[in-house]
Amino acid sequence: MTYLIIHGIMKTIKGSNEKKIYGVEIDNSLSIYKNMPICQDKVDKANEVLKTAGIPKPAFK
Amino acid sequence: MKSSVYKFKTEETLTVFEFISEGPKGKITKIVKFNPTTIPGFYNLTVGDKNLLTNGINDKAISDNGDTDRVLATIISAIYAFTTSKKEAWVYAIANTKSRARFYRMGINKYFSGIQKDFDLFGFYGGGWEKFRKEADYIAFALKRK
Repeated sequence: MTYLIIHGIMKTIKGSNEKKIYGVEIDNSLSIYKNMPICQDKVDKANEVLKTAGIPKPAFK
Repeated sequence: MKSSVYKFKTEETLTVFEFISEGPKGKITKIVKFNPTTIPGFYNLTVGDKNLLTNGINDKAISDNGDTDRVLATIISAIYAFTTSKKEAWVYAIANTKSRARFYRMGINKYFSGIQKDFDLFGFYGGGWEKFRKEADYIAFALKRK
């Protein structure tokens, strides 16, 4: 079992500046979903919205 | 307000996450995936219930397992993990049902003070993007690490 330590992966939900280190289990059996079309209708809708509305402004900074 | 987070696992590229929701309806395996879109750097967030027999994903399921807060906190954790590995990535979420839109709004509103410190957050309203407002009725959201 492989663990990947990601520093500062998530700050405390309550919004403090405290950072926590979480060991995240790596399970490469989940790789089957990387190329599997999941919720393709939502991805298609996302592509349509992004194409017509563009991207939010901070991207232009 | 602090909420506990389900332990999750992921694959080496941190684009697919899995965790198990536990509640009155038993154990329900959830999959969170960040799908690439046609725009480089933009990823569509999808969440669904995993069918343990077929490995298929049902994104229209309403599990109602009594642990909404914990599921939301876990999804947010997955967003943090994904955007830690891809610092320039945008995460985009669109709701395909009114109940799903409400679910996303609940999560963002609940953890707004924390999220806004770490992310630029936008809602899709009136045909365009605007800075997220807690009271608005958005159907799509976008966020990016600051």
